[in-house]
Amino acid sequence: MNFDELLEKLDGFDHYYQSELKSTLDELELKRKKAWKVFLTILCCAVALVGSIFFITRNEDFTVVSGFLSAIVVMFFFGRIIAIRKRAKLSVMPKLCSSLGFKYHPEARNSGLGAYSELSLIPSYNERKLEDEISGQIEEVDFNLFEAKLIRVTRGRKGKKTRTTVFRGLLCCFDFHKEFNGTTVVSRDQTMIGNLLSGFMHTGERVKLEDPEFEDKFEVYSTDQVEARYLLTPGFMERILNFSRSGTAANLQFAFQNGMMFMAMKNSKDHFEGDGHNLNDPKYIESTIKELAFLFEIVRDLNLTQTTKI
Amino acid sequence: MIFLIIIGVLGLFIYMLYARLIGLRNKNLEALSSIDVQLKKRHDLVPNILTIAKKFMDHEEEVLTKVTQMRSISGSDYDKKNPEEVSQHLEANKQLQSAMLNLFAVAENYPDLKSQETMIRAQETYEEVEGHISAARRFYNSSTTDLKNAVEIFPSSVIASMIGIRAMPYFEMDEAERKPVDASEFL
Repeated sequence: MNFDELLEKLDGFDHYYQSELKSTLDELELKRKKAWKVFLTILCCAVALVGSIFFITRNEDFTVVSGFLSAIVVMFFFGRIIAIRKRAKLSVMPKLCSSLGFKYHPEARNSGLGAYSELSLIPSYNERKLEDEISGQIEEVDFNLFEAKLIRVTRGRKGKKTRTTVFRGLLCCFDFHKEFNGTTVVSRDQTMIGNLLSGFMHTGERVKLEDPEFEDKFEVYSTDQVEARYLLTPGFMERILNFSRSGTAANLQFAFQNGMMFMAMKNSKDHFEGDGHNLNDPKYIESTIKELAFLFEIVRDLNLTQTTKI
Repeated sequence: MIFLIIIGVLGLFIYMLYARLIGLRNKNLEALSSIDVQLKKRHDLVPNILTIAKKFMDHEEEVLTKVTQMRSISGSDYDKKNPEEVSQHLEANKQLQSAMLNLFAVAENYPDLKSQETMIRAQETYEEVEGHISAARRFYNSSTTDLKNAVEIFPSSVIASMIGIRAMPYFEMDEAERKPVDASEFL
């Protein structure tokens, strides 16, 4: 497998893979397989133990307690597998990103959700988990991308906590090479009543655009009617529609503020995890490279480097 | 009593139609003003481009004169509430845009002009202004459609004719002008 061919800009990664990464991933894969075996053994033992306790004692409380303790032990051993996959990711992602001239932070410490919340691109939440922050420049377009999982905690009548994942996906912002002062938000169309309710959350007026397909899929709100149309040209709307047909961007919402384009792409996928392939399988790295290629697709498909203003 | 309620409901209904028509007309006027703001930018930019172009295009007097004439006509005052005058104003600005496109096309024959840094910057600014005009035009046409529908569809058409609100003309581009202006193609 020649990784450099997968992404034009990926210079020198093949050499790094052959000289250093391959042996590391081989070693980690061995550990992962071993950890899997241990996990499965522990799981079988735990099930057998809890089952035996139930059949022998016929005591529900005792069975529940033993089940709970067994689950903790099983989770501990499952955590070891996850830790190995995380180590593999930490071996691959920083080097892949640096080969592309990007910076990678596994815990997304430099990223905030303030702008995304303010623009109503993400729902309200109580807990958040941010990871895989990638930042850099593609053809002079600065960007920052990270993965977010947002959880809303609610309490029932009896005070029981319920945790609901309200957003999981990618959040990113790109430099937008047009001058504008206002705020324009493009959210998903949520039928008449949904739009009416969500309309109260957005600042500015509703902007009615000419493209019927775009109007069908999105709702646009802006503090400046002319500026919204300056940003959302017919060509740009067409590009957004094509782009939003791809899987990752299927639930795309975006906004323009302070010279930047903010995008929220809700999807259920856990990104940059190698799609569950074996760690020493070249497909593990291939799938990660393809996900990184998505960044280039955004810039290319949306023509963010375009200098013409019409 | 019932008669009074019917009159009241009818009065409220008529008032709502009236308020909507006034709202739509004001929105249309706002959109027209936003076009004028952008057209003014182009109007102010044209002399700069002409000054630079004149240095190199001595033999293209007809092209340059046409731009000057159209600039003069397009900058005239007009009554924003009068559809005929608005139509003439928009048409004059379309003519100015055509004249400018022609100027850029002719400028292609002058390599020295193409490489002029000031001309390149002026062209970039022109392109930026055209982008804003295009956006303002779309806003205006959108509000014109809303107003036109209200003015032509019963029952608001009756109120519109009573209070003298008329549909406004669209600001449409000619087929040849639909293509975006790319400065680099010309210079």
